[in-house]
Amino acid sequence: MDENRACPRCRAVRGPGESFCSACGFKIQSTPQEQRDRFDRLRSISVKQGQLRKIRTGRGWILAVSVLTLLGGLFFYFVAKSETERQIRDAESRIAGATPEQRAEFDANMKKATGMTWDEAVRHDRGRVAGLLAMNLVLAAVYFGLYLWARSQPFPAALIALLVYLAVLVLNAILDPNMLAQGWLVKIFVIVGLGSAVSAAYQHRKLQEAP
Amino acid sequence: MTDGATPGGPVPGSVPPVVPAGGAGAGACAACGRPIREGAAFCGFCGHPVGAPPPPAPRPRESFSALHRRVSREWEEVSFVIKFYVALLAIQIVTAVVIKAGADEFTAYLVADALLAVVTGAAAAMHWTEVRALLARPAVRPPLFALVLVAAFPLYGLIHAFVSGLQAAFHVEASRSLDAFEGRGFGWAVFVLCINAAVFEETAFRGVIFGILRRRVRIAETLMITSVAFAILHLSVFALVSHTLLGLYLGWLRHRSGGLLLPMLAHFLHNGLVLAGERWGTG
Repeated sequence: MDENRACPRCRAVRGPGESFCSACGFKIQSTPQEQRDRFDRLRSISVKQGQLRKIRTGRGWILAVSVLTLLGGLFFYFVAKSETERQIRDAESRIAGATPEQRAEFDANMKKATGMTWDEAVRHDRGRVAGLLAMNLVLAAVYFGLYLWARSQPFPAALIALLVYLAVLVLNAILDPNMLAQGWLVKIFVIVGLGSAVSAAYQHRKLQEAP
Repeated sequence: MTDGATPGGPVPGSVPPVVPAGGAGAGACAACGRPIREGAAFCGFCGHPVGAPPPPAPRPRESFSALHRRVSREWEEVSFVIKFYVALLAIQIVTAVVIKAGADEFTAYLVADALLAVVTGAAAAMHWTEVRALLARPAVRPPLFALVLVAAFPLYGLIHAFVSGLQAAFHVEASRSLDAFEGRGFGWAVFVLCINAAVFEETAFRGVIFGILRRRVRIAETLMITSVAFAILHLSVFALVSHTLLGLYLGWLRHRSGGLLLPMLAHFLHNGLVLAGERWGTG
C-alpha cells in the first residue's frame, strides 16, 4: 500500500489524486486529462469504424441494386420480347391468308381501337420492349456510377442513390401498384441500408473535418 | 475495481496535508491552478515546476464525445430534410395512385395541392426566420432579373422538346397538365399549376431544403441533391433529366440572388409557358 504511494524515482510520498511527484516532478501515472483523451481516442476509432462499416454496406447495396437492375432488365427484356413476338406471330398467322379487302378492314378496325395501323402497332410494341431495356440499362449504369462515386464521396452518392431508388419504386408503383409488394423485404433492406449509409457518411465526414 | 490505489481517488493514509489554493501554503500552481503542497518543487497534478512562469494556455479542444454529440444533432437537422421530402413524395404518390384508381383528377389535384401547401407551410414555419429572410430579400439585381425573363423561353423550348422527344421515342402519349382542368376554367389551372407550384415548390426546395443543406454540405452537393429530389417529385420518367437541369437552374438562381423571388418567378414563367403552349400551341 505504502509502496504505491511513493515516487518510484525519489521515494517521496505522493498526495491523493496527484499524477506527478511533487518533489522531483517524475510522472507517476497518466493525468485524468490524458486518461480522458485516451478514452476519447478509442471511442473515436470505434465510432468511425462503425460508420465506415455502414458506408461499406451501403456501397454494397448500391452495387447489388445496379446488378439486379441489369439482370432484371435483361430478364424482362427477353420475357417481354418473346411474348411480344409470339403475339405478333399469332396475329400475323391469323391475317396471313386474308384478301387485301379483309386486310384493309382489319387495319381500319385496328386504327379505330388503338389509333394505330398494324405496322405501326408492331413498331410500337417492339419499341416499348426495347425502350424498357434501354431504361433499365441506363438505370443500372447510373447506379454503377453512384457506386464508384461513393468510394470518394459516400454522402452525396448514397443520398442520390436512395432518391433514385425511391423514384424507381414510386414510378413502378404508379404503373402497377402490385409491383410495390414484390420483393418487399429486399426493398426494405436496401432502403434501410442506404439510409444508414447516408447518415453514417454525413457524420463520418463531419468528424473527419473537425480539427 | 479491486486495485488498492484507485488513480485519482482519495486513498486513506498518512499524507502531508494538501494546502488549499489561497491558503497559507505554497499557493496555487501557475499552470493548472490546483493547490501546491508545502515544500513541493513540482505541482503534483500537472507536473509544472513551482515558481516557473505559467506555460501558454493550451488551445481548448472539443472532446470527441462533445463533437460526436454535436455532429449527431446536426444530422438530425439534415435528416429533417429527408423526412420532409418523403412527406411531399407520399402526397404525390397517393394522388397518382388515387387518380389511377379512377378518382376525379381535378379534386385529387386540389386536395394534393392543399396538402402540399400545408406540409410546406409547416416546414417553412419551423424555419421561419430563414424563409422570411429569403422572401423579404428584394436584391433582385437587374441583370439576373433580365436573364430570368429572357431565358424562360429557350428553357421552356428545350425542356418541352426534350420531354416530348423522349415520349415520342418511347411511343408514349404526351401528357397534358391541362386535361385535369377540362371544363373547370383556365383560372384554376393557372392558380394550381403556376402560382401554387411556383410558391410552394420553391419554398420547399429552394427555401427549406436548400437552406438546411447549404449550411451543412458543399454548394455543389446542395444543388445536385435538391435538383434530383425536385425532379423525382414530378413523378415522370421522361421529365427526370430535364427537371434535374431545371432544378439546377432554379437552385443556381437561389444561390446567386440569395432570395426566393427570382426562382419563384422563373418557375412561374416556365409553368405558365407550359400551360400557354398546351392551350394555344399546336400541341
